This record gives sequence, structure tokens and C-alpha cells, in this order.
Amino acid sequence: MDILVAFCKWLENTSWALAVSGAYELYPYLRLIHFTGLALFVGTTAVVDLRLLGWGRRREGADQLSAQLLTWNWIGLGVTILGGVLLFLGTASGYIINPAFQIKMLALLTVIALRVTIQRKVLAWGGTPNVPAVAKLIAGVELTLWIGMITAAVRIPNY
Amino acid sequence: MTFWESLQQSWWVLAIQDSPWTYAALVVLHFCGVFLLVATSALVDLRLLGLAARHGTATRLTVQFSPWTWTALGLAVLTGIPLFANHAPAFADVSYFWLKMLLMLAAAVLSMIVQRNVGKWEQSPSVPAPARLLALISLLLWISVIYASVQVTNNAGV
Repeated sequence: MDILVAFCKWLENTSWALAVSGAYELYPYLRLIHFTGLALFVGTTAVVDLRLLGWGRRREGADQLSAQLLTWNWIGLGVTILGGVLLFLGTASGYIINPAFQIKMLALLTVIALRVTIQRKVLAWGGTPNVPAVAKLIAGVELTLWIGMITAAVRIPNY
Repeated sequence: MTFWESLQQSWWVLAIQDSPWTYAALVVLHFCGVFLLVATSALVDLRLLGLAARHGTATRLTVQFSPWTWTALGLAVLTGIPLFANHAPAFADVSYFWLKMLLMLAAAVLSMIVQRNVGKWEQSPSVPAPARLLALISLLLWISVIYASVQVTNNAGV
């Protein structure tokens, strides 16, 4: 943890971070980038998870849906991280010791691992008329993690 | 006391203010609604522009997504009302808030137009230019709704 905090302190003083944190008028745009990415990432993840759980219309199989949305799912993650890193830079050492932020990052890493798993296995899962229980479980866990991650993000200023 | 101040002081709003976790839950559900709403609308727009999901049609995406779009809008509005009431005097004072309401209304109407006409548009070999323009405007409107939202909390000091 000490190493991480030291790294964050160094990060805060890089010319990049100083440029961003000094430009207060930039923050609304950074938030816009972060939230637009989140909408794409969360939204395209959620519709596939909801389909695996069998909720909503069933015109498309989960396998087709996942393949259709794959590109924008990862673009969404990229845009989210881009905005997120820029927002993080200016007060990096404050964020890194914040328990809500730590939970958020752990949940994010888990979600990314589950995304990769679902996208690899969905061809087998979605092709069958009955989605296997394990697929439903993973989809449910992913959705729950999302809600947990957003909750952690909302609670960051409280710590 | 103004109308917005009395709204903020009504018993149900005070109950939310007394319970930080109720407030947090409303914020979280509001975000979930907005994310699902924007993503399901934006993907149909991107498909019409030829930038997403090109193996299938926009019509099929719309069939799958439209119930989620309107469920999500309902969730965003239902949670948005108490969140607004919590900050009513401050939010009502910020012009970005009213701009957000206008943009959201316009974006929702446009998404509805897109959903109703997408089947017709896709009967021609390529999506007609006016349809693409509508899809582009819809996409930009949803992004500007997010921008206005960011500016509301920024300007109201929340």
C-alpha cells in the first residue's frame, strides 16, 4: 500500500497530472467522457446479462447479442478508463486510500474477468434453448457487481 | 418560502434526507436507468449510422432493446423526481437543469420516432440519409443530456 501511495504522489506531480488538475474548467468534460463510456459499457453488458437470465424479449439469442455488442462493449470500457484516469490523476493519493474507491477498483477487475468469460462461453451457452444455470449465475453476479460498483462510486466522497 | 423550498421541506423528502442509504440507493438506480437508457438508444442510432452490430439489422436490435429503453427511462424519471426534490431550490436555480429536461424530452421523442420507423427505413437497400441524420441527432442529444447532468451537479454545488 505504501508503494501505491508513493506512486500516486509521484503521479500527482507529473506535468500531465498538474496540467489536468490545474484546469478546473476541464472537469465537466472529463466527467462527460467517463459517464458516456460508462453508459456504453454498463448498458451493453447489462442487456447481455439480462438476456442470459431470460428477462425481457427473446428475439435475439444471448450469443448473437453478445457478438453484436462486443465492439462497443470494449469501446465503452476504453472511454470509461480514459475519462477515469484523467479524473484520478489530480488527486491520485487521496483516491487510492479511499475504501470506497478500492472496492470500486476490485469490482471493476472482477467485472472485466467475468466479461471475458461470458464473451468466450456465450456461444455455447446462448446456442442452446435453455441457458445453463452456471451462465445465469455468472450473469447475475456480474449485474450485482455493477450495482455494487456504482454504489461504491457514489459513496467515495463520504470517506 | 418558495414552491421549491416547500417541496424540499415536505415530509417524504425530509425522510430521504434523514436516510443517507435511501439517498445513495436513489442515485445508484438513477445511474443504472440512465446507463441502460442511453446505451440501448445509442446502439440503435449507431447501427443506423452503420457503426455498430452490422451482422444484424437495426430493426432486430430495436425489438430486443425497446422494452429496456422505456423501462430504463421510467426508472430514471421515477428516481430522478425525489433526487430533484432533495435539491429543489438549488437545481431549479440552475439553467442547466431545465436545459437537461428539454434535451431529455427531445431525445426521448426522437428515440421513439427512430423505433417506430426503423423497420420502414431498413426496407430500402441502404438507410435513407434523413434517417441517418435523425439517428445522429438522437445520439448527440443523449450525449448532451449527460453533459447537462454533469453541469447541474457542478453548478448546484452537490
